[in-house]
Amino acid sequence: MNFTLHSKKIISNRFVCLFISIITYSCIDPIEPIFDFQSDIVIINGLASTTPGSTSVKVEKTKIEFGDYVSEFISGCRVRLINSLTKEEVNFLEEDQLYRVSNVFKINPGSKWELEVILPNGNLYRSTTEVTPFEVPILGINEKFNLEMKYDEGIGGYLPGNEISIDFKDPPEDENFFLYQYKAYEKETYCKVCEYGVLRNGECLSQFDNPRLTKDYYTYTCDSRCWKISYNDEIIVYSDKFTNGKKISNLIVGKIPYTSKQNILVEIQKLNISEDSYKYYKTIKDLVDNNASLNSPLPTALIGNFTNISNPDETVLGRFTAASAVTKSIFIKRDNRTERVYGNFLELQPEVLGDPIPNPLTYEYSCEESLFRTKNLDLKFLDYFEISSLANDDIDGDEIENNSDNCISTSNSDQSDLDFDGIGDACDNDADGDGYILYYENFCGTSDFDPQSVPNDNDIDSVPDCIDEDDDNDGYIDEYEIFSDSDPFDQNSLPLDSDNDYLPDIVEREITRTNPNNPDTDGDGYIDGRECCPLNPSRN
Amino acid sequence: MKFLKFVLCISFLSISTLIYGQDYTLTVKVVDQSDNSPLDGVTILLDPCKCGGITNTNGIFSKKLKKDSYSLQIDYLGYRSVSINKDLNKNETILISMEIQEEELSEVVLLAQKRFQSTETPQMGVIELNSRELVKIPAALGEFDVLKSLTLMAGVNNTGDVSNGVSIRGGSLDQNLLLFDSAPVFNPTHLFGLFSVFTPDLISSVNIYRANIPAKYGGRIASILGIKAKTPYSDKLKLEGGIGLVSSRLTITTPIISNKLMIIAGGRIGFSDLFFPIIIPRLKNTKANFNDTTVKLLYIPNSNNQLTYTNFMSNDFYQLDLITSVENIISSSNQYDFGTSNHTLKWLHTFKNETNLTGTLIRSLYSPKNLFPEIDSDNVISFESKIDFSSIKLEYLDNKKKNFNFYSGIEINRYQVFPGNLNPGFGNSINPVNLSKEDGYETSFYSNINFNLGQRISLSSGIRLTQFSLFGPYVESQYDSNNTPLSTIFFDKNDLVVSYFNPEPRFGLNYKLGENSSFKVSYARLFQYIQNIYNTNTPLPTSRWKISDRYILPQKNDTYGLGFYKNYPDSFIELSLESYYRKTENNLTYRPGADFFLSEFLEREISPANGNSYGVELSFKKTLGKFNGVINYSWARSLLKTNEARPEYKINNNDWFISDFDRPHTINASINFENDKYNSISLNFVGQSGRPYTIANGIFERQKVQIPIYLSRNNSRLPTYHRLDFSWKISYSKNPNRKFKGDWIFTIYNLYGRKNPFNIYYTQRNGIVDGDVFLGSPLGSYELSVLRSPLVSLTYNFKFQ
Repeated sequence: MNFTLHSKKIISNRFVCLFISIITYSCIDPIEPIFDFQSDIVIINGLASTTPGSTSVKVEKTKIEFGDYVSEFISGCRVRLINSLTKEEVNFLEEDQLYRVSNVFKINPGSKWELEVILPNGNLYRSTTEVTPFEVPILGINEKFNLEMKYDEGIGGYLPGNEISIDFKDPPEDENFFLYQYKAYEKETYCKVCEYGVLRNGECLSQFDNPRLTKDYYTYTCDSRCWKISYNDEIIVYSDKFTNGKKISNLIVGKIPYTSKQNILVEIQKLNISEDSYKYYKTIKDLVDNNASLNSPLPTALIGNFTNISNPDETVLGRFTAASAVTKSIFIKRDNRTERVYGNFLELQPEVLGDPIPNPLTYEYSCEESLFRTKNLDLKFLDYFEISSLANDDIDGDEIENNSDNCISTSNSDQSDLDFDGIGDACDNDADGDGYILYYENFCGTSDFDPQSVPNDNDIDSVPDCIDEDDDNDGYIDEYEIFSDSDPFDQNSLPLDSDNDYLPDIVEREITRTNPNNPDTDGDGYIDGRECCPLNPSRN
Repeated sequence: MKFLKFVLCISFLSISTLIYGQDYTLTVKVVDQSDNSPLDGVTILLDPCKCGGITNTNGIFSKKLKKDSYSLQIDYLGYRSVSINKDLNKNETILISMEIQEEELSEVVLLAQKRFQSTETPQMGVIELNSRELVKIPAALGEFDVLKSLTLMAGVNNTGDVSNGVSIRGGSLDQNLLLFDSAPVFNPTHLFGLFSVFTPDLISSVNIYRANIPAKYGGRIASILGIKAKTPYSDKLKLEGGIGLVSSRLTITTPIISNKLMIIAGGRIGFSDLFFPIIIPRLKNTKANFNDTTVKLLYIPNSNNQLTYTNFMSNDFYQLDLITSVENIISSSNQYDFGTSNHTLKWLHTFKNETNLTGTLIRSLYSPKNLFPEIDSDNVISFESKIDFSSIKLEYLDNKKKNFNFYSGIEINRYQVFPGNLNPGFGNSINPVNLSKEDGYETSFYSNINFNLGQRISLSSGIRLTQFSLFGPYVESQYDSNNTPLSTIFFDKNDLVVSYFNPEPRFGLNYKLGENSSFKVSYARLFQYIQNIYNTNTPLPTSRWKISDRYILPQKNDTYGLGFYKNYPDSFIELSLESYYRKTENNLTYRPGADFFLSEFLEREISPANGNSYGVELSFKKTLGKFNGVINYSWARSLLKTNEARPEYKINNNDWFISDFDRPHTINASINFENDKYNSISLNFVGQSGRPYTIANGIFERQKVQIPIYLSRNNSRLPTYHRLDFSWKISYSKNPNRKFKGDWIFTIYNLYGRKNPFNIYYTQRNGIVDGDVFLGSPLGSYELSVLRSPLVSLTYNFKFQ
């Protein structure tokens, strides 16, 4: 007994322990993606659905274009959907890099279909028969904000977002397999952004060599109501393997990243698909989403249901799926969220009267219909956004209707237009129409409201002398002309420049230290006077 | 103390009471001074007879001698030599207590005690490590680890920093039979491969057989990995333990009835709930706790019988964000809860003249569980599976002649695999699923003889006859010639579903080329009737186990070996060159889109593959000296080939392809520097060809989602894996006779901070993020490395006796 006590005492006295650990991080680093790329593999993706207008087929092939891996649309295919029982045929028409049928076409639950595609080269591909499953309605839809919705490798942390979950009653008589997709609508903030440029005649005009411009981008709002459309970038599938006949609740079917404070309307589409199709999408999910864990399934071939009839060994990617679809929508208010938005959100920065940019100032861009943008949101959805279906006729509130207002974005009830060019002075960067923009006139001390008050402009290039670096437009900048004793205001007075590289010889010898007898001292193909760094062959 | 020693001497007197005429018997029992455990293989030289021998496993050497005055020279590597004189005029028993000679003790000396065994026996492909050797191999978080240490040996690899086991000679993880005191361990790691489950302070030795596996072992085709727990030979209380960053340990050894009943009990406990979220942001929601305990009882009713009982328990609970959740079960998180409970009862009866009979009863239970707490509810859905393994074994060993030994035995194993049941708890959200139990018996009869043919040739020849039978209740699917499922057949309880009989010959030959060099050839055939099925880099604890049936045939392996061994006894250098060729059948590969979770007919998810593995292992060991250690180089390949008819199941078009365990080049080394008795420094290096993985053959887009396309498997390789570890052990007890000894072990794992990627995968591009790396590629790509910087730890270990 004594013995035991003794030992305990020793242990407690001597039991000094210390841990040192330099914190160590497991890490996830970006690396250049590598591929063992094979060209000319045919990819056919087709969907026939019980929802009108959603039946379409895409035919592509893999290709390397300028070193990038792309899939290229194959035009000129003959595509038809064949009812396996009635042999009814539905022909597809090529439209916008997609093969479509009429907007009213839909398939009925229980019907059996196969898809046939004949390539322009005559190869015939046929899918196996797909049976259209029956619809299973969504009973309830909910959303929940999750601060740690998704891990993002790029930022090395969790990103917030709204998780959409649904409830439904699984039919007990069949095995059911589902694929979930969403389409989300939010107000488009800008219909166009021009980086280092301005929007003129519908295109971004580069202002890269405008040294007076300090803003690196301009934003352009939409000229009509415009909705940004986003889609799921995750594959969500569900099988009732363990829940056949049960009421299923809280099934997360969509993850909406919190990338803006715009309210958003999410339309969940629930596709009831075949077991084979489920396996196909489950494999995609494994390849796309389930690949970053310690226990990730190892990648496998994605086996679709097309075969080349004349060459069954050919690898054909993609799948034809016959699905029944139901949808349900939920509106998520985000405008009063206090959490910080993650993402490269651009602050509103419209063109401003007085900026050193060419006339006419532009504020808006049209909302071009595309996969990612629409003007025509379904009327029933507009209510969610508490917007009347009527358009706002007077945006700036100057009581002059947009279509007769000479400056729509700025309130100008007097509609003054000094130069009668149709652009109201409140929007006109050259109000007096003398060819010199407000910025230049202010800079040179003249007035933009007086066509008689014009700045000195020796070479009449609309850039006044007080700003112009080459006042006689002879190609030699004023500073060098003065240095080499030629006249900066006289186009005929040129400095001595033996190699005609727009750097006078004396400048080459004493300032730029370049070769006065070699127009391209560093040999990079750019002449010395027209590049930033005439001594550095890797910069120009 | 003295009294105890006296008692020990007396008790061993009874062992040697044979009197032959004028000869007297001299019995020497050799024990380790620190814990009184018997030392086997100790060299005893006698003068003037110029004779001698080595001690047996009980530490006993016995010889009949004429009456004379003898001088005894007792040598044992790593211990201080003992010389004594003895006048022999009656039967004598001497107890020799040998003291460890610190500065000469080699830290990672392989085959230290039997240092010339490599050239003497026909056994090939064997690796032996004892606890003293294991303890100083630097490991992450300051604790020695059996499986991590093994990866320093020739021909042993793993999947990387996260590996739920080891790969031996190109085999998969489940092709190794891991035995802890004879009981199989189905999940050898804690925390998804971070630690081995075996209670570190309880490990006495590790043996790996890879070539001509002895006939007494079978059941897995790549190797047998036998781990022995310490036997509590002790006459006094002994405590030892350690405090580490993630886990802490305590072991107690004590006699209960002096010299009759002794116990050793040790445990380890790890809490890392706090640790992981701090160091790795990705592991924010991690919960991870584990513990393991080993208890071994030794009962010696008399000198001819010895009984041991070993109980090993291991439990883990974790929740880890880096593990993909289970599909189609709606839950707030996925938790893993798994445990092993093993029991071994062993009876050793010693007859006269070096023969003995061993009887063993074994039960191994492995019960992994997945827990799915429901959202907004207290209910927990659970998925449970279980392996209930039991075994009875009887073996007779005849060791009485020097040039001939023989053993023979019978082993009956029962595998009950409960593949899974899904339990809805008290909720009503899911339907219960209960896959029926699989019940298989593996009966083996085995026999082996070792004998010498003249001076140069020694042979080992064995046979193991195995009969495997699968019994009902069982549901079997029937297929037509195109492999389309037709119907199912139900087998009643105790109906024979399928049965396999396989003879497994084992053979080894040693030809001595000279005093210190030899040449060996070997052959072994093995069958495997249970396998772990998974389609990930490394199995999860809940991965499916399956016993052979009509469609999933027993795995078969033929190993051929060829080796050359040379020792330089004067400089303590051992060289070996071993080559092998393994031809395997019915390896498991998964089909595209395979899902094994609660899947009823696994044959629809997997494809059998033939395998070819071959390689050459070169090993250089220096067992003694201030600098000692081992350097290995292996060149090895491991290939697989399917033979499927349907195009979608053909892997790489039915051509040979490299397996996940193909590592053409591996260099591993462990170097120790022992300058004085207070400091010893070790360096470990592992360098191996990167693990094969699969890169995409194309990309296609579906609704904004970029999908990588894979047409072949293992068409690329991860970057080369290499890592250097450093360990510094400081023993500060100046007085070796102090009761309390403490030492510090300072380790730096991954000394130069190598980032070894575990996985490289593609991601969707997120705008311009990392655009400078991904450039124009439609997909981004990231590599996941478990460690990026050196991992430093300090552990305090203490010993009280």
